[in-house]
Amino acid sequence: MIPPSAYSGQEQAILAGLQLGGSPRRTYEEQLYRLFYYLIGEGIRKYHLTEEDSSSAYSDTIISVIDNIVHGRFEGRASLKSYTYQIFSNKCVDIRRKTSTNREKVHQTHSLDALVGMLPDNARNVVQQLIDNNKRTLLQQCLREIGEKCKQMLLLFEDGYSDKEIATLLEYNSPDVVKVSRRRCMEKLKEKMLPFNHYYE
Amino acid sequence: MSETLHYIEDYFTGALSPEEKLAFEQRCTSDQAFAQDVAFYISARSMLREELHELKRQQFSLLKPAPAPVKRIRAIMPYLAAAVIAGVFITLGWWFFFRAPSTQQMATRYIDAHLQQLSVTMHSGSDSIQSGINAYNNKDYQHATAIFSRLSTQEATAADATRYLGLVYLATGQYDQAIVQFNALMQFPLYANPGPFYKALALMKRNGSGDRQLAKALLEEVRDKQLPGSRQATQWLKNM
Repeated sequence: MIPPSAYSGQEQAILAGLQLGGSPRRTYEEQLYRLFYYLIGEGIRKYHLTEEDSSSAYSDTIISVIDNIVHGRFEGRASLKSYTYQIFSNKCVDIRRKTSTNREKVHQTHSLDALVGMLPDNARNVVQQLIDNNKRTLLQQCLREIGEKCKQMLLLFEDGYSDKEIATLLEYNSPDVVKVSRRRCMEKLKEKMLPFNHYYE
Repeated sequence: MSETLHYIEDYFTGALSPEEKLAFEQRCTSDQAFAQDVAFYISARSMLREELHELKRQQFSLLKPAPAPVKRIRAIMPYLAAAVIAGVFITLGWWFFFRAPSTQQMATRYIDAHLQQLSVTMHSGSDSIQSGINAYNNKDYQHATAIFSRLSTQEATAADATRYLGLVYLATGQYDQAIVQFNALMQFPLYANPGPFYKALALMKRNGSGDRQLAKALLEEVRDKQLPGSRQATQWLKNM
């Protein structure tokens, strides 16, 4: 068993790399994935998951950890190892619960919850009633129709990259150009959805 | 161009002042059309997040290390025997091939280890792509070629279909056609484009005049820009 102290230097480097952003970020994402890869075995042994489910829980864990670090939600109260392990355990429990009760994946709704949760109660109730989860497939289809460049821009923004970083990655002249283009892409997506929308219009 | 979505984005990215935030929240309850725009924005962001996560899952699936050997303290003899046999093979191997593996051998090993079966979770999109992947995994390359060729002409599936079509050609030893597809794939402005890595792989496998140098340059690009396959590229470059 490798002592946690052996990882501290590497953990710090990964944290700094993820927070720094830019194109090197992907390297640190991969390093993080490899660092706690052994947790997949723990998911199989401790939570009796299949290898596929445990791998899936682990991938989702790393995605959540990256997301929290990039968006400043990782406060450093626990080591990266403990933090990752805690999220992984929760994901494993979610999967166990899903397989035993046929419930939908709890973590799949998190991204929606996060944005809706920013609204106060009264506004949230109104907006939530207007969100039609059945439109998801149509939205995915429309995303493919707005062009690769638009799609990449929206995905990079969703991944926490700043307009400045996107400008560098996609070779735009300036962050302002990215901001305008990105917003146009969102408009384009909305326009593509118009023929299907009874709720948004 | 509508300003509404900009206003909504400013709210969710925290760019509004407290007074503006309050006005925004009140408008959600009093203006039905505006609330519908907010609902669209949240749904779109949520869908984008799922797409992003699927891409990251794919990226991670390429990183899976080889399974660690199971540790057993007892039953040492079989291991000793295996070690002796391995020693003989290593010695013979050293005797016959005392240099590093050729680029063609490295490519063959990679294809055997990673591209014999494509993960059905690698693509979350259309059923047709999934059908193509299933055909590939069943070694029905003719059917897979037909499916991916058709989908590569459709804008929505072009990038993925081009990628898979290249892999079909690679698996069937049609390296020239594979390179054509990977060249096309490199033109797509993808979030993480695997085109350069696959093209390098096809060049290594074809092993024609100048292919090695071209593959090396591509692998250096993959490594330097941290494109998909960068870890493998780094390893290969040590032997090139």
